[in-house]
Amino acid sequence: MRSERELTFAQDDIDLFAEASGDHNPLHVEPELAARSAFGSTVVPGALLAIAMLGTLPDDAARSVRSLRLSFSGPVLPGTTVAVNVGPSTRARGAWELALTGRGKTLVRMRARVARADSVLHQPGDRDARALAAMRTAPAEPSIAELVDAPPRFVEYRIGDELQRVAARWGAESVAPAVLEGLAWASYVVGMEVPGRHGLFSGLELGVGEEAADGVPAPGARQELTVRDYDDRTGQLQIDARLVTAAGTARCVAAIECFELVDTGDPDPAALAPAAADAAPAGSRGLVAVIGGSRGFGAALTLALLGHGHRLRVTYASSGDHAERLVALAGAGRDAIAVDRVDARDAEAMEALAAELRAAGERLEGLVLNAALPPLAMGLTAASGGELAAYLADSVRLAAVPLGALLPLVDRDRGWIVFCSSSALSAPPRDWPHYVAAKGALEGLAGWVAQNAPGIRVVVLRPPKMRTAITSTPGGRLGAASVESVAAWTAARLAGEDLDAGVTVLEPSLAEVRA
Amino acid sequence: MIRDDSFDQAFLEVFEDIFGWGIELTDEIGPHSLEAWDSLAQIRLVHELETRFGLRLPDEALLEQQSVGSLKELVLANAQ
Repeated sequence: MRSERELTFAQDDIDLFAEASGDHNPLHVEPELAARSAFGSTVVPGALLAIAMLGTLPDDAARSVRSLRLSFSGPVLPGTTVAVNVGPSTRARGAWELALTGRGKTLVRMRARVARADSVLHQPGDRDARALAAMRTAPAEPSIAELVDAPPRFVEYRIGDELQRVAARWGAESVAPAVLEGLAWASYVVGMEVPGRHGLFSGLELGVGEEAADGVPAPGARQELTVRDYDDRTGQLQIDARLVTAAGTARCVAAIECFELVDTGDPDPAALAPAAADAAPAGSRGLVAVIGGSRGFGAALTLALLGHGHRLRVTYASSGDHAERLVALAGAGRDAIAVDRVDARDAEAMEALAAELRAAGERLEGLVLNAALPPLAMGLTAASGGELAAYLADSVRLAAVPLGALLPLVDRDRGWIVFCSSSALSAPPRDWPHYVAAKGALEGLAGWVAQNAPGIRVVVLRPPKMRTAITSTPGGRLGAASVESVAAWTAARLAGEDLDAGVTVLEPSLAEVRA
Repeated sequence: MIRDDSFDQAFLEVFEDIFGWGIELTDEIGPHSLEAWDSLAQIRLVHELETRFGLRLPDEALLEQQSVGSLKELVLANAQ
């Protein structure tokens, strides 16, 4: 018989797990940094999800688990409610199958077994206790070469006393200590050691030694970590790992699957300079407001428009350090850029910005509506329909509030507004129903402006997939264009004379923006 | 490499490894018929197929939506 239980994780739960496991990766414990990730928030560690899932097993079953296989399909954010469905396997005696669902999608699958899995018995290499490195308190940031060609590494490991509180919080006190410890340790490996800072835990096979299944973890354990495989197309890593006691017996053996996410760097000004014939001195053309412009495509388009001679007013919600670097990247044109920390959803702040521009006698030649929310993969079910609607409302707010404030300032004779949509609207991805619905609503707003603010040239931009923070996901950057190529292409179209009044849809192919 | 029973069995094992036991594998199965077949699962599938068959599949195997049948064709076309 299967049963189901709902769970909600708080940031405090994550912080307690970080103390227990030693996994202090910013994606889990630093809300401000994590807000800029592809997930838009901190993420509940996969190993913590697994412990909570084991806590839904009957006590007898939880006590007997000696190996498990985990597969993660999507992140769980703190404050959201997920459901765990658990039941004995109908296909393998003594095994249990567990699924954690949220956003209308299965986000974690687990098979837990009484027997130790043969496939986790790989031996990672020779031991050399003398070369034991200390546990990290800040995550590693190895280069690709350091990841791929590194010899096995040996690192001390000490589980925190907090693990017992974590287990109690999620009803997992019956689970063998070595299983709990193995999960916490695997989280530490990915988040702190290999690949560390940009690591994303995606799968695990874990087995524990029979003699290690009971009792309190002995101090002085060491980790032996070997990268078995690295895929340069996707950043996928396969790691063979053992946790060995001070006495030399294997406490946990693991095959870990994870990804190294690509950090989003600053845009390259050299790749954004217009053709010599189109270049104009910075500040020689009209003012453009870029909403959501401190990083990624917004920052690249800002620099490209600067090259075409525009003055820029850029708003950003949280990435202050990016905004400072954007001004520095403008070089000689830095005096033509002003940045404001304004959340695009904040009506009062947007009105204040509009009032300031009006008082200074400014008119806007251009307005770029680029602020957007990262889309987490979602399935469309009756239950997730409400989440889809909430995403849609928040996304529309990011465009509607600045549009409402600044539309009266846009020049009715030669002004333009860019609505940053997506080519995903032409080929909606299976797990992004909320994203395409939000972009569809944005395009509806563009049509409204064209009809009701005649004279303004309305541009709906549907760029191909780009390498931004939003696509810094496993495989997210495959076949993606650089932000510079799309921004340079777009700025050239905006500077040309071929935009008509009404709506112009720009949907360049990958080949066009690269040309 | 030819498409025979052992090829189909190896393929089935890769899919069972990724998606769990008891899958009825037909060439038409793809992301639209298997909820678990998302973009991450496709990366895992490609990696496992490459490891199992000792080959490197073209980027389209990762980039474009696939089905069991199209992956079989890609494996056969890229085998040594």
